[in-house]
Amino acid sequence: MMRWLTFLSVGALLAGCGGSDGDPPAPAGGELTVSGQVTFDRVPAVAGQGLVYAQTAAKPARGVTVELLTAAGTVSASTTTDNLGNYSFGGVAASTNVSLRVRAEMLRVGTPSWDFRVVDNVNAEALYTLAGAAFNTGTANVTRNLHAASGWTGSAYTATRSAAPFAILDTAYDAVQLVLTAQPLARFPALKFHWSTANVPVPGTGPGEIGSSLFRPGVGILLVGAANQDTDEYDRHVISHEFGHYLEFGFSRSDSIGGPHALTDQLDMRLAFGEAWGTAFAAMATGDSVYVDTFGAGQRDDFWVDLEQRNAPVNRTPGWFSEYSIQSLIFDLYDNGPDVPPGSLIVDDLALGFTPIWNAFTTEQRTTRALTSVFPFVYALKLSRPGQEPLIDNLTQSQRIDVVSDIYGTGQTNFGLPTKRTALEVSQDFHTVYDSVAVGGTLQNVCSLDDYTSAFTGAENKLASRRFVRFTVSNPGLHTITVRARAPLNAAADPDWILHMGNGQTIRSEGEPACSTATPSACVEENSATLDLGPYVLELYEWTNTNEADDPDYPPIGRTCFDVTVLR
Amino acid sequence: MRTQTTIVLLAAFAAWPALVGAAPPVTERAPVVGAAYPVKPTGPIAVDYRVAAPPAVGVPVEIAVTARVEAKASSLSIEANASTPRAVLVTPPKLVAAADGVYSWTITVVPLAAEAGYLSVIVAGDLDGVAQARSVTVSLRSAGDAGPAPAAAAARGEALIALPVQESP
Repeated sequence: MMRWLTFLSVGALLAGCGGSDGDPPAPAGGELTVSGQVTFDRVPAVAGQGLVYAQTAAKPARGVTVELLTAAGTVSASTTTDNLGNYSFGGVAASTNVSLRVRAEMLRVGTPSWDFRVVDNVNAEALYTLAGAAFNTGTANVTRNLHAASGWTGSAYTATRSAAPFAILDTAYDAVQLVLTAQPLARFPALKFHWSTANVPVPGTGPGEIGSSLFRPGVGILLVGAANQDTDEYDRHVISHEFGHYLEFGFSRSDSIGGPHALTDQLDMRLAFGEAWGTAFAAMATGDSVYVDTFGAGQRDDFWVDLEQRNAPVNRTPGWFSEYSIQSLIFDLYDNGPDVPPGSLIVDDLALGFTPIWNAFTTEQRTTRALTSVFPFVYALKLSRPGQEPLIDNLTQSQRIDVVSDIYGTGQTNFGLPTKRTALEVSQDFHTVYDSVAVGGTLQNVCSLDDYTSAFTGAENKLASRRFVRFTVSNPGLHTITVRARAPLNAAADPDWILHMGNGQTIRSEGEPACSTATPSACVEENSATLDLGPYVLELYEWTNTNEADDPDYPPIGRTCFDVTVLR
Repeated sequence: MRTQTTIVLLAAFAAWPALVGAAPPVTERAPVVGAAYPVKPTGPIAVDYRVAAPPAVGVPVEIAVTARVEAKASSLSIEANASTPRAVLVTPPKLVAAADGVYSWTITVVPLAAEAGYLSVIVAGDLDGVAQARSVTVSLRSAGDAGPAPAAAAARGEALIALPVQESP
């Protein structure tokens, strides 16, 4: 089977286009051209209205694979649509029975390159295609346009939803175009979009029970498609958000601990940045600051938020731990057009565009010896744009993030609004993003808290449950790290720690000490590792403080403090 | 760290794997437990549910739905729709509590078939003057019914799904 890919210029397409009526005769030798346009139904997602089927429009299917099949069904030629959805096959034998097939696939080899496919995860990972009818090429050039319809017939999906896979790819196309503006030779790792009309927003083990649209490393992007429950094929921001997570995995790094999160939660800073990046990328890739996620009967309901924070839910707890703050910050760094973040007197008059944001995302954020958060990202941005530091500082301050002076968030003064104890009480335990300990020394009283529990999403991944301690190895070799509980204890403590080596590598120490409130010093986590020169981050936590607030067996025990020792 | 017990909550999923490279020495121990894949962003309405008992054909089962809002909300409304209406009876949601930003309803369903599908619950309201909504979906499948089996992978060649297409002229 010969398979060849062609990237067509518009000029070439115009030269090749033409209908069968009145077309120029086929050239001598009995060969002709088969060409046309591939389109799909785009149903717009509108804030406050859900999917608006009345505004459905045919859009070009850009960058997808079109195949010319013989009467026997074998592929005789393959090409790729251009940015208008046009394709063309030259040198096709006249008076021959053929058919066309459009694959839900964006494939480009060379540099740049990508390999995106939309498959049915409940049907053997089968690739979606549009299957055209057989036709005879006749004796003149042929035009055949192919259109994938939404399947919506007035009040429900009563026909096959052929457009969905191509709507998904179209969103990926826009995302790729944005990345290419900053990295023209980007080589995207292969990615599968798993979409099915059976994909329901229910976590489980049954077919299609994917729980939510999400990105899973090694699997791809899973998208819900259950009509009248939750469908995401037309929710461009949702797809782009998950694509943003894919970019973290493929081009940058994420130390995110994941878990449930809501817009106004006070989160572990790694989760806050990762989610904010996804949403900000969605706004940049779609060119629309209003994130919309539709669902419900007739897809008429939605959740939406404007990254410009206009007419949007009030952010009562802005800061470096807020995905809401950081997503607006990233978008304000990018966008062009002055605006004033609510609650701030600072005008956003910075418009860096995408390239410096992408560069910070793929350099310092990828290799940082700190944890991935807003701090290494903004710090890299400032280093790359020294002339614009004051404007960048203005924007961070508009989100109640103090001037970023290093990758560790040194000097931050905003530690949110605790939901249990008072801010004054919590401030005694939590007033730095990272603490520091010298090798050979002991840092006392590092406290794991459960004071930022969310009414929305519980306790497990919230601010200050996990604390961060820096140290620098100047004499390589075996090091012993000890995290020991201090009195008083609310209950028997179970300290755990994770050593971050940089570049995403970790060493975990998660034992189960036998101890009680009467023997706090026996509540200890100790292990040794051979360490090279350089800075390290130790993440430590009381294990129960990373559980759900209503965990029936091991609910959070609350404030638990430790002494940290690193010995060579 | 002890094995964690998981309760049925909205966004509880499997582990987000640490993006580690080569295996580090000696001290690496347990796999990641308790963390989760981050799911898509959610808005200012939190909704969770509890099903009183595993759904069984012909047996009424109560579903308790709780919604929480932080913002100023005029009121919250709820709507419940079955994905296969002929396979389940659904009572209208009954408000049982509404105070301090927490709203609770009960919904009683009676599965009429083992494959009773899903119940989609939408909670909506004006928050800070902005219309917002949140959905959750409840599985009504009877115990032991995992739904239709996925198709087997193609033994040879590429598996393709042929979708209908409109061709012109």
